[in-house]
Amino acid sequence: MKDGQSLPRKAFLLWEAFALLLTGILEVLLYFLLERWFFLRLWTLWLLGLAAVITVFWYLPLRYLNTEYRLESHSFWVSKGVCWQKTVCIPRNRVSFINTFSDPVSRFFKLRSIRISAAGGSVWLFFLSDSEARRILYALSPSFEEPS
Amino acid sequence: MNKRFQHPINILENISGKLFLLIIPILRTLIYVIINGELAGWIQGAWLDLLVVLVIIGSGIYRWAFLRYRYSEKGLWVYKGILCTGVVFLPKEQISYLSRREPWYLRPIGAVKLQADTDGGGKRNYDVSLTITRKESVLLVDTLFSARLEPVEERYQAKTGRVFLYALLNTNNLSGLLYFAAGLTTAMRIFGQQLQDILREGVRWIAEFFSNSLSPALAVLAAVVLLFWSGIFLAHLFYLLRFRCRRSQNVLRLSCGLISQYHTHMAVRRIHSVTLVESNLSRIMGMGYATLRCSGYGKRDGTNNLLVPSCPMKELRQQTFSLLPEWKEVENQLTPRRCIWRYLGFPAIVMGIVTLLILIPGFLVEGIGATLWWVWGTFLLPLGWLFWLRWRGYRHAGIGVKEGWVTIRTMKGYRLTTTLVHRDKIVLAHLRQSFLQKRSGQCDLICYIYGEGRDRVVLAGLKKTEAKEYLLRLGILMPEDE
Repeated sequence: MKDGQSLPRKAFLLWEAFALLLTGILEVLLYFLLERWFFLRLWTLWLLGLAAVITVFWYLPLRYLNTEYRLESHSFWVSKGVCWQKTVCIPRNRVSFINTFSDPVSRFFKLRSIRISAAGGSVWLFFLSDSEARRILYALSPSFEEPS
Repeated sequence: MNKRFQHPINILENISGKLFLLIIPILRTLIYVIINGELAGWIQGAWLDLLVVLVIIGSGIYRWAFLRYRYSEKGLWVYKGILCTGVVFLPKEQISYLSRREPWYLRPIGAVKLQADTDGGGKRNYDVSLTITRKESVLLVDTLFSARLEPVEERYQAKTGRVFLYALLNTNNLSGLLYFAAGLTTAMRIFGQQLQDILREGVRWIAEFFSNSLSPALAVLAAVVLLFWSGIFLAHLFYLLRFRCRRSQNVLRLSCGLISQYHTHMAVRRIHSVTLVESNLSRIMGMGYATLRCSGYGKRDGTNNLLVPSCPMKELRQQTFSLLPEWKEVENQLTPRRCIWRYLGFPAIVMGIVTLLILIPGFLVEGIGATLWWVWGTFLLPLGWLFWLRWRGYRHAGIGVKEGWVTIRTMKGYRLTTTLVHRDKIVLAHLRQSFLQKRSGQCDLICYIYGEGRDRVVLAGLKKTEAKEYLLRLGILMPEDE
């Protein structure tokens, strides 16, 4: 997308860290659960490892690079996707309501996820920086107030 | 304004589905044990069950404690969670629907269920659903919609007889079966053998009663279906009794309900379409009813988009346009022509096939002629009815526009509908042609109307060139789109 903004680098690092952590947990679980079947365990661990490599070194970087957004005077654009790129445009006067989400990890890194809903559907943006999320929220919904 | 908690009854609502199955057997056992004086032994044996019940109650308390709300003239905020937090904000100008439901079991404790909805979000669930005190709900609605501060301009109260007629003609049989099957299953879990014995005795009595005239199995089936239908009809009727509408400047308020009460507020500018409906049976009496589409309205069980229940058609129009004077109905300016086959083809073909299927065995096999003619007559009745309705639909169908208000008359199933919608709310117009229609230069006009979920009106059998010109005139089709 021309002149689009990307997600902060912390978002990419969080995704990678989460993918690696999940892979590690699954590998340990499978190692112990499949103790009795050596070859099945070997194949399963190798396949899981391969899936993790593809995810960490191909899918997530592409997803990060392809996720962009742009706030214009009359509309809000979001573009994302790895194999199939989807671009969504929501006119600002058609925004119905907004949600924001955060968990302890994203709060530690000062990140926040937002969801913008309109009549035809909704669009998510995960792990925006706090200030950027606030800018978008106030631009799309001027009456919004931060929780105290 | 500070964040507020929901009504404490919400704790039970959060766990009602899971706890209900456990708590009744536990209470029954506890009562038995207390009477017989074996409490300590019971606790020793049932500690795990009690622990599970406590965990379930704890989860309900957790969900209640970490959902709070606040509101102001700007809108409604809902705050969820403690570790993983979320904030939902509904701006005041985007809220299209606010309803206060007072179910009979919450009325004694002064609690109401409040639902708020906008054009966004899911089409099956409300955007925000809270259980709060009655006083708080009135304040919230007043703040967001300023309904009570505006003078009431128009009022309408439906007569009880008309509500009865509407419920009678529009009760859905299948939903009654599902509803009572679920209730019966739960009741049998609770009351066990006693209820089964009562049911068995009832079925035996019905079979004996009809044994001279009907097959017992059919008699029992008919009795079961009638029982379920009666139950849902009564529930529907009690929901609609004391149905009244009030129009203030920008807000339409609907209230109904006898035992449980329902108060709905809708922003008039967010009403997407109004439909005047004549169903197959109500048409015989010259009556119809009006419904409206507004985001959030009718989500309760999908059937209650009611604006005006059964009325003579002239009075229906009067009441509808007194409540919504800015809406306009106009005569047909474009109608289907030379496409009677499009309307009558289906029932005619099916009647032909049924007749052939009856005639051929009737000629080939002797002695079954009378039975076959009886079967033929049974099929012919609904098909003939459909044939006549389709003919009425053909005469009724058309589209007109005046001052930006579009009126589309068409048929949907067994109903004749007149849909009123503003041109700006028609988000998509589609001209559909089958291979037969391509040869004759005809098409079906499909208009998609703005709102949650798919809402479309199909007008069949227009001439394609005329339909295109009309859409150009409406401003839906642009010259460069051709």
